[in-house]
Amino acid sequence: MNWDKAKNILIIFFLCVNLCLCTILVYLKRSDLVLSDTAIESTVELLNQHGITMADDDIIPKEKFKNQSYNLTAFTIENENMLEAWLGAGYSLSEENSSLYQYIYKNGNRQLTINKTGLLFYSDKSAVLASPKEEKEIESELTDKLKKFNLKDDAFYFQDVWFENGLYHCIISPMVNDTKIIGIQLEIAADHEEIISISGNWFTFSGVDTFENSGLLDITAVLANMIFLEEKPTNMITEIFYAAFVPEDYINNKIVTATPVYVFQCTDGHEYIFDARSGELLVS
Amino acid sequence: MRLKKYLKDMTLVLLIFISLILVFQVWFSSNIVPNEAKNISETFQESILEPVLSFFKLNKNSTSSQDISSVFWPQKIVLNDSNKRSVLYYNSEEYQHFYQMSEDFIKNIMLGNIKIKSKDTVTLDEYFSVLKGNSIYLDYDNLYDFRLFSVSICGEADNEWSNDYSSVRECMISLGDNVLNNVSVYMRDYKSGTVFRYILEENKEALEKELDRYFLSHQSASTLSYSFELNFHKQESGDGSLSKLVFDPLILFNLVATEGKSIHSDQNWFQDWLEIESSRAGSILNTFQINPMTMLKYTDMNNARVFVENDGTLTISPNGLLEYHALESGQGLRIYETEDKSAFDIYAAASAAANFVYAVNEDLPKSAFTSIRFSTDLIENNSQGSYTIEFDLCAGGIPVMQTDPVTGERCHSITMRIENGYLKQYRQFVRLYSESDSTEPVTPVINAMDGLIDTLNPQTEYLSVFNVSRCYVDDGAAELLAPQWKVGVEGIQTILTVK
Repeated sequence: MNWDKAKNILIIFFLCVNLCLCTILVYLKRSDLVLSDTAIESTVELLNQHGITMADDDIIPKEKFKNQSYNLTAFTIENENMLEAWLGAGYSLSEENSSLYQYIYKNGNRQLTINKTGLLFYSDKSAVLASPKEEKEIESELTDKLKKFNLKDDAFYFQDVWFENGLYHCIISPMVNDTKIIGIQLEIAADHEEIISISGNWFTFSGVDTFENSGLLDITAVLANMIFLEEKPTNMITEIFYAAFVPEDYINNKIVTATPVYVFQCTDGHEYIFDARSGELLVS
Repeated sequence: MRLKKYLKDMTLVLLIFISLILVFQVWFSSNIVPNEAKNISETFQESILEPVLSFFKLNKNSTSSQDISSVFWPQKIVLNDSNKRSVLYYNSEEYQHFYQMSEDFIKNIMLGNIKIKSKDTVTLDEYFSVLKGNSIYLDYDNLYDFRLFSVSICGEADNEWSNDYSSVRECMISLGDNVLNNVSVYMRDYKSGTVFRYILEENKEALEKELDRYFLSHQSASTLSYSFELNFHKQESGDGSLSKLVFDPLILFNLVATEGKSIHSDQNWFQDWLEIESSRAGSILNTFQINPMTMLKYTDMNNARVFVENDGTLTISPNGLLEYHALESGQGLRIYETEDKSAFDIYAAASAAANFVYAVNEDLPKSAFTSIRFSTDLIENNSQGSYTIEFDLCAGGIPVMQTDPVTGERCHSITMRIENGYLKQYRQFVRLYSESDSTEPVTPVINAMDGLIDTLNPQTEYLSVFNVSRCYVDDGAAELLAPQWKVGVEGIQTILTVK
């Protein structure tokens, strides 16, 4: 037997095998990161068959998201300089019930009520009324003003904006590494000069738990499960995105964890929030 | 030529090695194959491994005598001879020595290694009189289903004695008198009230030698008397007057004031211990079957960490309070596997509870000074399938009563509510106690009881006291805990403690 020749054949054989294995590995790694077009198309077709329509196939994100939970710490507890930033130097404690974590602080025409993680701020001044045309201008000014309130612009996003009685109103929610946090919000009213009122609960990012060994459900799987909902969406789904969610029941705690969810928004404003780990419908 | 051959060989080996690594990567790095592998593993476990283990009684329901015996031991051992008496608590070397010796002795009788010469029943007076002579009295402090006693002693729930007993509380080994050379064992079945005496074909020499050795090295005069010796077990005293207190005949009284060691309570260790390593909370979560990947969690305003899983909520407070509550809508945590609800009796519940407590405490720091034991009666009740099982954390062998943060009442260190194999509620005060050098005076029981009568102001003719034992009380604030008395009174559910 010619061992030399056999070795050559074996070397070539193993080179081919290794090449195939590399190709498979790259394909598998890629499929771990993105959804296949076929999966998206078949999901859309299945939903259409059950009367659930989508504005466009493209609204389904192709990216597969990491199983991450975001730890958020209450702004009222974590932020040492908060009182001075919100009320200015020289503020004083007006009322206190420390066992319930309730405090009222005042400084001139400004007052801040803290109730656990809840904030109620208002400035008792005569507002300078503006018109809706000035929305962008006021929004830009507001972002700078919020920085002074220790709310950095990369840590929140505008959820809603409107004009009412000549005042600019908006709702902001936290954002962590480009992921929207749902369930936490502040409602703000402002004029050209300053912030008139802020109310709601606020948390800041304090850490992330990543579960590498346990992936999230594919968004297509969660969408496909919608056909089993008792009350299926009657309106067209216009937006689908990945976010993190804090249930309302947990909002009055010192540290909360926002868990990964998929959010489906319909044309009528109806919103479906699904747990991205279990596929359970959390909010409808 | 040789070099070329060598290079070819090396290339081939390298290629084979790389192909193996790539195959490994393909199998275990993708999210597709591991799930399949996991399913195969689960199927193998559910369909093959568990039935086989259950056939050989090796699955998790099988009663682990190791776990039961670690939480089931006499609250005290009393050594008696005709002139002296001595009480031994769990932490002492002598306790361990005499317990091991007594346990081995009873185990050998149960397993038939020591032959029973005769078995008869005796009266209560005869039973009590055993304690006046050379004897070893194992006091378990509470009533227990006989199977728990049996499994903790000999590792088997059923044995030759099973037909005689339903519930037991104590066991006495009598070394008889100077005439007879045989050893006898006395036990009372509390359900029927029958006291059995087993006269054994065993020479008393070895046991007697140990008792003599002990009393030779502990020569101080004994001031201990049993209630029946002082006539405290009868309402009517010798002069015809009626007592407001009637004691169980086997309660021991020390008629003179003594001193007891205080213990030191470390209030902050739990928070420090949890913070050192994040995986420590993880091991507790694992025992409560809470999946970190699917749970919800938050930290409340009092810094208690709350973990929410489908069936329940686990709260870990910085002061060491560990609480689990099953959701009303959920079944709770399954800690005992059974299809037949009627099979879940007090024995199964206590075994499952012991296993669970063992698992929870396995990852907590061990202290040679502290130990855990069953603390309430464990006998079948009217609500079959639903049981509350409690444990005490003992420091130096003496139980430490905790203070309920809500009601302020005394409570046990661990409370479990189990229904048909499902854990509905679990509460544990995770505490760390250490020995202290300071001692505190211990009031004689009878003096301490005077104060109790004034507090209780009984409406009934007299109070029936069935249990008096040493304890400590931890209110969660004091760092030095002095010894007190724990008193059990008929008709009063709350735990009473007096100084």
